[in-house]
Parts: sequence; structure tokens; C-alpha cells
Amino acid sequence: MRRTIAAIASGITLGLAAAGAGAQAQQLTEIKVSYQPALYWALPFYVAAEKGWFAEVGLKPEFSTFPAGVPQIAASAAKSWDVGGTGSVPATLGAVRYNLLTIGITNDESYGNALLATAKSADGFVKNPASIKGQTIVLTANSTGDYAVQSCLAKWGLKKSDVTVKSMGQAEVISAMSSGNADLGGLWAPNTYTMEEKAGAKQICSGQDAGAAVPGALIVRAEYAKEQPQNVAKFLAVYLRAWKWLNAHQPEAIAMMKKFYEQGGVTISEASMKKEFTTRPTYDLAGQLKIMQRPAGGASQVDGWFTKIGAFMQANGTFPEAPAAPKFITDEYLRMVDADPKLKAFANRAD
Amino acid sequence: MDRGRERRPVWVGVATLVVLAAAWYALTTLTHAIGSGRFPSPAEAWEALRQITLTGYADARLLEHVLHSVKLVLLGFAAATLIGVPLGLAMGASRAFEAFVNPTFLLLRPIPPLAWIPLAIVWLGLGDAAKVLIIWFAAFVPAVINSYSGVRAIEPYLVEAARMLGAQRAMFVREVLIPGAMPMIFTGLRLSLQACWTTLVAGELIGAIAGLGHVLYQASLDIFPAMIVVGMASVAVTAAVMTVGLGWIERRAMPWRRA
Repeated sequence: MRRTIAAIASGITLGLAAAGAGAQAQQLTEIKVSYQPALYWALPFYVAAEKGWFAEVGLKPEFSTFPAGVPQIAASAAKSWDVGGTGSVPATLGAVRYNLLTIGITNDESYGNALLATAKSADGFVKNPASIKGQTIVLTANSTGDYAVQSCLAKWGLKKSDVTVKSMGQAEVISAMSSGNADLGGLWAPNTYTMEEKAGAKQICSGQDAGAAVPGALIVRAEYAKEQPQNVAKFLAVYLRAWKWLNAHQPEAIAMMKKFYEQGGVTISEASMKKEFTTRPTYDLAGQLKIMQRPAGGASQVDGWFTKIGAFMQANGTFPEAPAAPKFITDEYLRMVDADPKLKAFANRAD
Repeated sequence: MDRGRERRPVWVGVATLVVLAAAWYALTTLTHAIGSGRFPSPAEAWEALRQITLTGYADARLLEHVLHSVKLVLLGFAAATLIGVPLGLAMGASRAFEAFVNPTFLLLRPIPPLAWIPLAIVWLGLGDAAKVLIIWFAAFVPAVINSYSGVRAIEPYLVEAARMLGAQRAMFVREVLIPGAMPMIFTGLRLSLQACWTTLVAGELIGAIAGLGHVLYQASLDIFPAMIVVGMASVAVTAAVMTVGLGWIERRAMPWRRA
């Protein structure tokens, strides 16, 4: 009899616990977040998940990672994710192909997208950039790295037709340069640091040097944004809070970055990790709203950046006509964060 | 033979293509059952064809891409034929030679051609030579196996008859071995040619400056389904033309099989 009572009591206890857990789980809304591993702008996703900030706003993130922007964008067609971060080139491609919206900027990666040269040839190219004419450059075509490289060539008065461009993935670019098969390569961070640290390559020109703004984009599927605008705003608030925290707690942030990068198979020195923070500006809520604000009848700063990127892609033959920036860039969800006192306070917390 | 009966398969083939084209139009344009993000409409494919033919795509026009791919395929195929066929014949004709070569061949045979890409780049750089090596490897294996099988399939009474008639080694090879193995050799060459095209597309994914594989790679980066279809169709048509060419050579090489 005692056993029976004990069994019933423990059953009731477990049932109540399960019901409680279920109720808690029900309060959290699932949101599918996509990103590329071991990249600076993706660090806030990792930090926010570790700190439990998604749950604080009622979200339960389900992460999916992609090796590059193109497969990430392609996966949106199958609704594999709802929101995420990516490069500005894939974001523009996603706008044209799958109606993706750019709802914020992850960071300014103009310095992190660059043309690197092998140790033996770098000084010569820096002294005489005209000597790059006729050389082979290995890069990932139609990427932010490609955009930075072409901007660098233009800065030196060279055209794409003056060099031989061979397209390959970032890992292959590193292999080709390390094995002496190519002297010049277009890379983005942290691959730039890997090449510098492990193969002695030197960065000879970045997008920043060439006056090309290379932003990273926060994106959302238009359909999801229409159905769940509140969740999109919450997602932005979490992301912004994570940057606030990362910028305010750098020693701890570096430690988390090390873990995050190692999970993605990238090992770079602490000095390079610090360089990520110093060379890649990020934007808080006010900063985001400022660069995305359109003066009456005019274009925002972000519109200007993406218009140039669209023109670059059009010149590459990606699409016959570049998309108009206001058609896919919107600050609507950032304004929702700004208009909600609780969410705004959450986004601006640095603790 | 009745001419009408001869023509029937051609018309059946044409009718199949017409039905497929009609279904394509109906699904992508009339009903929009398949969105253009997943598969292009005929109009989109036509526009992509116009773009690559007239203004170019992936750094060259269609004709340059086709010629570049054909060059690589011919080089790889020729190398595979020149090395693979004699090797297969020798393995088939001589048990001692087979015992000497076969263990190495059996070890290398299962390795996918694409697995050689990293080594090919290290050995030969990012130029065409590395791609030709990959294509050669893909085409080499069927050339060897079929030539070997062709020799082994020669009727023993033919070999005995040649020996009884006192045929010298050179004459035996010229008059019995090669003609006897020829049908299987050509079967192998057809497979080799097909393997060349399959591998070319993959070989051109890395570090190419032109070629149909390069077009497909670039179109995949651009998520450009219409251009992907144009690239695939170009591979299919070019490979088919080369296969027809090989068939023409085959008919002339084996006139006794024309009937």
C-alpha cells in the first residue's frame, strides 16, 4: 500500500514538474537563426545563447550554420531559417532571389575584407601596385572579398581584366597561397589572420583602404517578418545587447571568442582577436538607426553602401539590374525596438 | 528495311522532347506551379542564354567556355586513350604483365577522380594541367578495364587459329588482338568520354578562368537557376556532339560491324 501511495505521489510530482517545464517551454517561441561559424559578427549569437538572453525575451533559438553566404541564402527558400546574419553580397543576392530583407548591420567589415600577398611578393606589390597587372588573384567570386579586391584594383587604376581572377573557396585560397600556387589572394577575417600568422602573408589593401564600405547584414525572410514582427524586433534587441556586452567586457569577450572560433576550426592569436575588435566597428541601437535613417526623399548611409554593392554584382553579371536599396533594407524592426521601452532598455544593457 | 520503321525512333525521341518542353512551359509559366527561384521558365533560360552568348558570363562568352571545356576534355581523353588502351591490351594479352600491374591498378581504381584534386593542384598548380590530370584519371580507368576485357573476350579458337597459321607477335596484335578487342575498346572509350565530362565540371570548380564547369560554379554562387540550366544544357549538347563524333570514328574503325 505504502509503495502504491509512494508511486502515485512520485508520479504526481513528476507530472507537475513536466507540466511546469512544458508551460515554461511553451512561453518560449522558437526562432530559427542562421549564421556562418567562426566569424566576428556571429559571436553575438554565441554569447547571447550562452548568457540565456534569447530566453529573457521569450525566444528559443534554433541555430543552423553554413560554410558560406550562398548556401545560407539558398536554404532560405526552403524556410530552413527565419533570421540571421550574413555578408552584404549574399544579403543583396538574397533580396533579389528570395525576397530577403536587411534589417540591421552586424558590423563594418571594410578592414576585414582584403587583398593579401605572400611574404616574398608583398613588399614589391606595395611599392609598385602597377606590377599587379598580369598577376593571378585567387578569391571567392562575388563575395565581399571580391568586392574589396576589385575596389583595391580600381584604387590603383587597374581593371579586373588587367589580372587573372581564379575563383575558389576561402580554404582553397589559403591552400593555393600557402603552397606557392598564387601570390595574391582575396580573403576575409579571420582567414586574413590565419594567412598572416601561419603563412607570413601580408595584407596589402583592404576595402577600407580602397574606400569601399563592406557592411555585414542582419537578415530576415520577408514572410517571417510579416508573420512575426515582434520576434524579429526581439531578435534584434538580443543581438544589440550582445554587442554592448562584448564591447564592454573585452577580456571575457576574447575568451568566448577563442572558444567560438575554435568550435569553427579557426585558431588565431589573441592579438588578432583584439584586432577584430579594434578594426571592425559595430553599432548600437542609436548607431543603427542613425546609419539607416533616410532623410526626406533621400538615401540612408546603408542604402549608399548597398547600392554600390548591387552595382558591383550587376557588373559581375549576377543580375541584369541591381535592386533598389529601399526595397530590401528597412529600419522598421529597429524602430520597433526603439519604440518599446522594455526592449530598448534590454538592447542597451551592457551587463 | 522499311524506311518508316527506321524513322520511328527519331520521331518518338522528338515527341518526348516536345512533351517535356510543354510540361516545362506549363509548370513554370502557365500555372507557376514551380517558382523561378526553384526552376527557371523557358523565357528566363532563353534570357540567360542570350546573356552568356552575347555579353558573356563568368568572364567569357558561351563559345569561349565551350571551346575551353572541349580542349580540356580532348586532352584528358587523348591521354587516357593513349595510355589506357595499350595498358589494358597488354594486361589482357600477358598474364605476367597483368600480375605485375594489376595490384597497383586495383589499388588506384576505387579512388574517386575528385579526390586527386588537392594533390593535382599541389603538383601542377592552378592551371589547366591539373584539370587535365583529373580528367585523365577519370577516363583512364574505363579505358584500361574495357581494353583488358576486350582481349579476354576474344574467342580462343581465333587465337589458336592465328598461332597454327604461324602469325608473328606483331601480326597477331595487329590482325587478331586489336580487331578482336575493338568493340570493347570503343565501349570503354564511350564510358571514358562520359567520365571526362562528369569530371571536367568538377575539375573546373576550382581555379578555372573559363569553361562550362566554371559557368556552373559561378551560377551556383549567384543562385542563378536559369544560367545553371544553360550551363547544364551546354554540357549535355557538347558531350552529345562529341559522342556522335566518337561513334563516327567507331563505325570507320570497325567497318565489319556496320551491318
